[in-house]
Amino acid sequence: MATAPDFVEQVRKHQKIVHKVCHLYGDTPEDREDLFQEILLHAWKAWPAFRQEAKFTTWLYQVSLNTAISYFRKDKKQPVRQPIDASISLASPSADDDTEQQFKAMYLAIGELNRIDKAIVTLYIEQYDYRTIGQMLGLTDNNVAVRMNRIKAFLKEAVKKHL
Amino acid sequence: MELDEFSALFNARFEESPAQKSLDDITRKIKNRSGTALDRILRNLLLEIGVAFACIIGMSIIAYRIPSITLHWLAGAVWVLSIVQIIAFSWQYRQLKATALPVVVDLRSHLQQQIQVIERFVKIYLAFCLISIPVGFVLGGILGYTIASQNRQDPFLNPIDKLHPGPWGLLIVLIGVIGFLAGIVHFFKFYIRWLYGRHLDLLKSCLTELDQ
Repeated sequence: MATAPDFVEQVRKHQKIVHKVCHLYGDTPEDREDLFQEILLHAWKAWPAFRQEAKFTTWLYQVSLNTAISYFRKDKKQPVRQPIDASISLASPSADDDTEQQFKAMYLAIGELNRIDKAIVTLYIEQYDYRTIGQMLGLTDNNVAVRMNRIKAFLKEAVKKHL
Repeated sequence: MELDEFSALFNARFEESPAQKSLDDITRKIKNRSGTALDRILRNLLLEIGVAFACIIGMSIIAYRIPSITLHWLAGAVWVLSIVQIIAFSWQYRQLKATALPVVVDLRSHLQQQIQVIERFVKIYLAFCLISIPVGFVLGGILGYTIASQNRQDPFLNPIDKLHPGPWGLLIVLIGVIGFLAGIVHFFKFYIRWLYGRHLDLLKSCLTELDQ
C-alpha cells in the first residue's frame, strides 16, 4: 500500500522532473516555487490512486503538466519571464559564452509558446516518443508530429529575436 | 541552437546541479493549502454555508430587537433562503468531494473535468444568487409590507410614511428594493467572474489549443 514516506521519498528522488516543468512554466522564481508546491499537492492527493506497476516518472510528468497547464493565479499580472535561475544556467562550466547566449535565447523562446505547445516541448526534451506524448496529452501521434514541426519552426525564428 | 541541442544542455544542467528539496521540505509542502479550482470551490462552498449560518443568526438578532412586522417577514425570507442555501451547498460539497477522486488522466480529460466542475459550480451559484435571493427578498418584502400596512405604527414603515405617505411610500420602497436587487445581481456576477471566470477562460483556451 502507498504510504506518505514512500511518496516523499519517490518525489525526492525524481524531483528534477517537477523542477524542469516549473522552470518551463514559471516566469519568476516565486512562480516556480508556487507551482512546485501545487504540483506536489496534486501528486499527493492522486498518490492513493497511483498504480504501483505504472512508471512513477511518467505519472509524475503527467501530474506536473496537468497541474502546470491548469494552474491559475488570480493576482497574476502581465508575466515577465525572468532568465533561468543562476543555479541552473551557470551549472555547465563547459558551455562558452555563445552557447550560453543561445541557450538563454531558446529558453526565452520556449516561454513564448502557448501552454499546450510548451507541454509538447517539455516531453520532447525528456525524449518521450510522439506516441507517448500523444497519450499523455490526449492527441494522436500524427498531430504531435505536425505540431512539433510547427514548434521547431517557430522556435528557430523566436531564438533570433532574443539573440 | 536547435531544440535537440537545447534539450541536451537543459537536461545536463539539471543532472549536474539540481535544486534539491529535502524530505522535510517536501513533507512540509504537501501539508499546505492547495489553490486548484476544485479545492477553491470546496472552500467557497464551506464559506457560503458559514455565511448562511451568519445570516440566520444576524437576522434573528435584528428581528428580535426591532418589533417590525415587515422586518419579521423579511427575516423569515432570509431564514428560508439561508436554510435552502445550507442544504443545497452542503449537498454540493458532499457530491463534489465524493466524485472528485484525483485520478491522473491525460491532459485533455483533465481539462474537460476541470471545466465541467467549475461550470457546474458557477451555474448553481449564479442560479441560487440571481434567482432565489431576489425572489425571496421581493416576496418577503411585499408580504411584509402588505401585512404591516394594516398597522401604521410599524417602526419600519413609519419613517417612509412620514416622508411620503400613501402610494408614494410604496413606490419609494419598490425603487429601493429594485436598486438593491440590481446591486446584488451585479455584485454576484462580478464576484463569480473574479473568482472563476478568468480561470475558466484559460482552461477553455487550453482545450481549444489542444483541438486546433
